[in-house]
Amino acid sequence: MSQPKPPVEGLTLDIKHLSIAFQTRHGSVTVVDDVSLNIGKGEIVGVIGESGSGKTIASLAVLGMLPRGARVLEGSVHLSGDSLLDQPESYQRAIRGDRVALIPQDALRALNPTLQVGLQVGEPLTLHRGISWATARKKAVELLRSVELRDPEQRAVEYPHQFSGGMQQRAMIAMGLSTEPELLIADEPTTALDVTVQAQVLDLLRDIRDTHGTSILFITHDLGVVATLCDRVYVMYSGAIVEEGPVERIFSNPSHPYTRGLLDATPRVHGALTGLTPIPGQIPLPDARPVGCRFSDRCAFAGAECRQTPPAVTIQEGHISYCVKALELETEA
Amino acid sequence: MSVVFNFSWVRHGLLLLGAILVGLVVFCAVAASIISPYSPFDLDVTLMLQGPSAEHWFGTDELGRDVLSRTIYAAQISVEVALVAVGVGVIGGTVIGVVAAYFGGLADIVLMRLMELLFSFPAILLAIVLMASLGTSILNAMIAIGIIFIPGFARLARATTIEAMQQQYIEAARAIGMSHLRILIREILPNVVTPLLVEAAVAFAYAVLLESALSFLGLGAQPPDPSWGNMLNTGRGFMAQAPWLSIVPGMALFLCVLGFNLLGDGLRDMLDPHLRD
Repeated sequence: MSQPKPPVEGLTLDIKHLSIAFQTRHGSVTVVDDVSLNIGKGEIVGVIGESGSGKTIASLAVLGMLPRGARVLEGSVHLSGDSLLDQPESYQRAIRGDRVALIPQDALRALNPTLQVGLQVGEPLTLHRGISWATARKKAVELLRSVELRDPEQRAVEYPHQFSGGMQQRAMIAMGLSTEPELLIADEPTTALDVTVQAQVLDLLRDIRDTHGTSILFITHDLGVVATLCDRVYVMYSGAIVEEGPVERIFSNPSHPYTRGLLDATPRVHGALTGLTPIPGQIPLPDARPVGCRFSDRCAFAGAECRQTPPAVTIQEGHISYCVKALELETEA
Repeated sequence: MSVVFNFSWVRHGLLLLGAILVGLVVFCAVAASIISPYSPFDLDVTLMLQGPSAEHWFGTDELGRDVLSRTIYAAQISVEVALVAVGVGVIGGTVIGVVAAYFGGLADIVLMRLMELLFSFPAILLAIVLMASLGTSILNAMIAIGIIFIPGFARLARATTIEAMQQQYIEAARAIGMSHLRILIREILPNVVTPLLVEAAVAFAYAVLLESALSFLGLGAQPPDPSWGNMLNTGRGFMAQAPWLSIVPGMALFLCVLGFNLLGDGLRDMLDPHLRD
């Protein structure tokens, strides 16, 4: 560990210089590389990136749930000032589901098929608040009502397979909210849902933030969702953050070639009818990244200077791009 | 269509037959003192080696004891031994298998290698070794047979646990801060129970057979306590003069083992969605 810096006041989540590696037979492979990320109270922050960009692993580190073989090399994670790394399992367990809740991608598979939904929604309360099953069940009905599920008394005694996809996701959100956590980690919670249900779930998340002041870390690969929901966004590529800033800035003035590539590859209602431009090539494997800027082998703007580790270029207050040519790109856009 | 229908009818018919046979054995075991016409221990030297008759349906043995009564009482010992042995096997195997799968790594390696070590001995040989070291008694026979069952159940429990652990709701359970013990009991165990139940029915048949084998060798039930195994052993000496001494306990053993096997197979077919219809 590098020397820990004191966390910034008022931040719900403060990740500093986090690096995570997997131990493999061929040595250590870094999947999250020097990632710093913070979320203020009541803020919704998006982390966007392709599959394999390390966004999910970084969020699992916050929960202390790294898969077997993964190890934090350095960095710190603070939740409202309390360090989360290097804590005993019992401490992390007390945090999970109480102060931090996870809303997973596939709600049906995250619910136990053999247990009534009401029991599962109330379970965090029995774990962390020591309340009885009977009380937890009553609370579960209220929680289900608060996520706008119709007929919650009946729903509470039903089983997950009797729910539609959107209802399952609402139940998961209700479970996450039961302990009124400081931070919700939503890992692509709307990917498995159709578009209208997706919009309802996003509305629900925004309402939760507005009424409870809950901070939300929203992991996704969907730019549209980020645009509608998030206040700030971090763009991740191949284990590192390549650009960060307020959502409007990122969409109006993308200052990293990768972010521009993502936007060009996204369909828009009012866009020119020139078709979509895919980013050529593929995301590199963690052990085969190019030297210097890891996007350089796919980048149309790449030059000799990109063989150096890219600097952090501040475009504007809070808008940072990790690209040597960030300022040129910004003016060009 | 009708072929498929017939097939499933036959399958359920066999399940029914198994249940009837098992029910009969269990009934004999529970109600032995009520239904057996004589005490299994009463000697009557004037009635030695009598053939089947109206008074003694299945004849008498070399000491003039009623073979039917002894066969019925022997069911008691068989069921008792099988019950305890399977219990030891299921509980021991489940704990070991689930722990090995859940914690993985070193725990998995050490526990499963130990199970393989037990597995590598032929069952009957292992039972004899265990009986030799524990001493001959019916209780030790139960324990020895139970230990033989542990590796099989452990492997099954481990495999089902590994499958259950890949489910996302296990991760979700961790994400709400559940302890390992609570996850094991509440989330994983319900998945493991069904296949173990089927395996237990088959193990029952094997336990009955093993107990008889041990008793036949003089390591299980000790005379004068009746057991199908030691009755067969005695009957062996009178095969020519009194074949009923071997035939009756032999048939009882055969029907009991058949019953448990049919029940186990039927249960598996019923509970396995791939084989249903």
